[in-house]
Amino acid sequence: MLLEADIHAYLFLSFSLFAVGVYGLLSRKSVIRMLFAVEMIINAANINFVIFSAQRNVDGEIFTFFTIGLAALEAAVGLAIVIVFYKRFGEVIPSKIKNLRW
Amino acid sequence: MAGNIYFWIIYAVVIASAIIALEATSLLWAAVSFVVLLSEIALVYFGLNMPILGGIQLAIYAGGVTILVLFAIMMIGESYRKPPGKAVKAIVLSLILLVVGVVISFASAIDTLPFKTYSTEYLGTVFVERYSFFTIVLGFIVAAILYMANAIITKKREAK
Amino acid sequence: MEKIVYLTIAIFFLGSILSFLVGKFTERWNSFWVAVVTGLIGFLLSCYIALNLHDGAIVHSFEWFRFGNYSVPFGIYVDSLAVIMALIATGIGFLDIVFSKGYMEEDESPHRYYFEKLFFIGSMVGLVFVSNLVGLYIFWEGVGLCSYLLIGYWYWKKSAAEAALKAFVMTRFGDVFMLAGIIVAWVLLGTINFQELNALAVAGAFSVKLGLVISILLFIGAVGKSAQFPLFPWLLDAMEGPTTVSALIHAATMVNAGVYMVARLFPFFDYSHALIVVAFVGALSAFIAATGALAHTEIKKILAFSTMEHLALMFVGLGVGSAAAGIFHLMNHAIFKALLFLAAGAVIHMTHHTKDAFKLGGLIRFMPQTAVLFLIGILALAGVPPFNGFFSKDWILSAVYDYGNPVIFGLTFVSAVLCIAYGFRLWFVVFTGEPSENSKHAREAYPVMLIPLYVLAAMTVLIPFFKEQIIHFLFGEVHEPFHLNLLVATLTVMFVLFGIVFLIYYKRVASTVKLLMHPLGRGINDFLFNGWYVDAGIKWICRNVFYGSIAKAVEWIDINVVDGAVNGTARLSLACWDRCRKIQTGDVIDYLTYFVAGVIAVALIILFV
Repeated sequence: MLLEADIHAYLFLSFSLFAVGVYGLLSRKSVIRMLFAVEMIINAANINFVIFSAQRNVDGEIFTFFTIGLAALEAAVGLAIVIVFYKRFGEVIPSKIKNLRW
Repeated sequence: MAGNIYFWIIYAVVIASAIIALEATSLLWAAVSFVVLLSEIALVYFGLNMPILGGIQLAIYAGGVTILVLFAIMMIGESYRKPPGKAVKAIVLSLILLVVGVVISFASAIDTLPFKTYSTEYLGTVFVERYSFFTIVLGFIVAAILYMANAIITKKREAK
Repeated sequence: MEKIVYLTIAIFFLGSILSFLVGKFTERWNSFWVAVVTGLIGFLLSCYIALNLHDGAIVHSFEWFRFGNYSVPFGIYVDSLAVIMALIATGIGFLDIVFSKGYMEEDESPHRYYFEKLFFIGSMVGLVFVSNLVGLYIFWEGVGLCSYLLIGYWYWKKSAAEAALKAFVMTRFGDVFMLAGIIVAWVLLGTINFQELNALAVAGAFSVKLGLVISILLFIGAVGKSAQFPLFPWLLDAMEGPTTVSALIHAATMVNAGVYMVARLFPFFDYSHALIVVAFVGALSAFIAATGALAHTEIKKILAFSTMEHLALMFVGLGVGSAAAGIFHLMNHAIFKALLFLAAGAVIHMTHHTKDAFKLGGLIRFMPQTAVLFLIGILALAGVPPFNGFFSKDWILSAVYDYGNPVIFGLTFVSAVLCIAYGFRLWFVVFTGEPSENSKHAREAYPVMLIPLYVLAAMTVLIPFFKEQIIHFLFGEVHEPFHLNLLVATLTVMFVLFGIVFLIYYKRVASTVKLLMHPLGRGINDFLFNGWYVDAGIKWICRNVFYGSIAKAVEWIDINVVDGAVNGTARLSLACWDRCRKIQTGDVIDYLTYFVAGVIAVALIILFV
């Protein structure tokens, strides 16, 4: 095997990616960057699924397929929204999306 | 927490590309960095002896999603903003999450087997049989909420 | 027979409504004819009842309604006392209605006037005919309502509206105590029927202290209604109403209701030892009123003080144990005071509503008949021998003399003899001397006004001839005390006082102006003029005690506790909303921050709990 690591190392990778994703989600003001951050978080979760499936006897890796599909879907819809939003308001700053605020 | 040199190289590349994807001045370079990140994760899957998963990761993420992102960037153009003042808060929160996660990964009983092992097939059957009705109703509720939101936005715009 | 009694009560209410409707939908003064016919029928029915009363009292009662264990009765008890009161109310009421045709000639809404007047007479007749305290209370409030409405008849005058309100509030203050007395009597004694209460008292079926409490509570209601100390200032202000109203309500009938109630419950009061209180209050009120009348300058207010004094004399008569004297004086007073008020009304009407006596003068040249009739009223008021006032007043004085309390006797004697002083002072000022601007255009009153005056004047002269019969009719055999030395003393003092008044106000040998210039004289005059400042005292108490403490406290509680709770709820939710609202910035990133923080919290809880 090329990669040799125990489960804690993989989990550390996963959590690190997750933390970076959260950081991006909370700090970026561009919707596309936030989309990146969301994808990172999803990938972190995917790694968790996969690693438990690979190194422990938990059949979770099948959910990764669903997740990848859903993420692709979400990216498509999200980007469509971004484009429509851009057309309407001329910018894509999430803090300006306040139309539904009471 | 032990791993060979390749693992740590991959780790470094993943985190670095993730940070670059968020911090790069140019959106285009950020997208490129994002592709690198996704490819590295596909590499992890290959390394874990799951080639189909890695292939799908490459095809859908590094292929489809990236193309969508590139199209979006092309359509709305470059729009970079400086990281706002909330960055400190975000860093603190994400670090806390990291620490908590690591602590959990060590402290919780990871090595114990699940109380019951279910096959994925069984889980799917249960989901469809038991929760499909609920999901359909939930779908209608979500649709109703979306419809209402649309109505509110339309009305607000008309008011302007 | 009881049907006729009910009919007598009902006919006035029906007549009042009919007169209003007739006046409203046809010519307005048509209501006068309806009122006259109603008043005449009512008077004739009262006479019929009086003539058929020889076989004992008319008693009838039925259950009006019931709640819980309490059955509220309604019934009538008509004996000679009640029927005499009814005759006074209907008879003087009838004459007053006739007189009003002349007095109210310029009025815009006679239908309203006659509606209220007939309603009043009906309530008064009901008040004297009912057999229990609840019924009495209902009609008591009915006459109070009519009094309020008629005092404020010229409601566009601010003073009249305020006087009406004052009369209403002040009598209501007494009525609250009366209601309390009724409730106490009902709950603790189990009955509200006059005869049963009196029977219980005669049998000594309850403690004297309980009886005293009930009596005092009821008597406070009578004090308010009959304008005794300290609840009398409303009677003076009530003179803002039409003079005919003052004559009927505030001199002849309604204010007698308190005296009537005490007389009705006389054995009860007697047993409860409450009569001494009645006598003291009466004596003090009589003195205040007599001195006040001596100082006042308005015709009607002098007469109002005089009314209060004579009511007080009735209370003294009752208080010293001579109910016959009190009721006989009530009857005589009703007649001569109605005469005086109506004559004063004629004077006021013919001089274009000049109320100040000192702005008139020499009227005997312009309205001699009125002057003579007024003089007869004054003589009766003063208690000059051939007139009816003399007999009853002398009787009361003798009874008080026999009673032996020097304070009561002194106050009563002084106020009784002062009648002649203020009476002739008024007469001399108004009818003699040089005619003033106001009186030069006066002319003799209309016949429609003079006829009732003649009837009343005739009665003041005629009643002494039937004194024995009336007393016998009212009370059976009564011992009438007689003290020749007291009589001589009274008449002598009265003669001296008449001489002084004659010299000052007719011959004008001395002027009161100099006396009034002096600060002390001025002060005493003001003191008496304002009714011993009782009104101001009541105002002070209301403002400083009731408003200053109780009302302020209640207001504080209302604003800070009651309103505060309501507003506080609103303010609390508003504050919560204001705080919570700030969380909802509308910024996705903020929501995400909260979300992440929540995730961390959940993770920590899972980890450590």
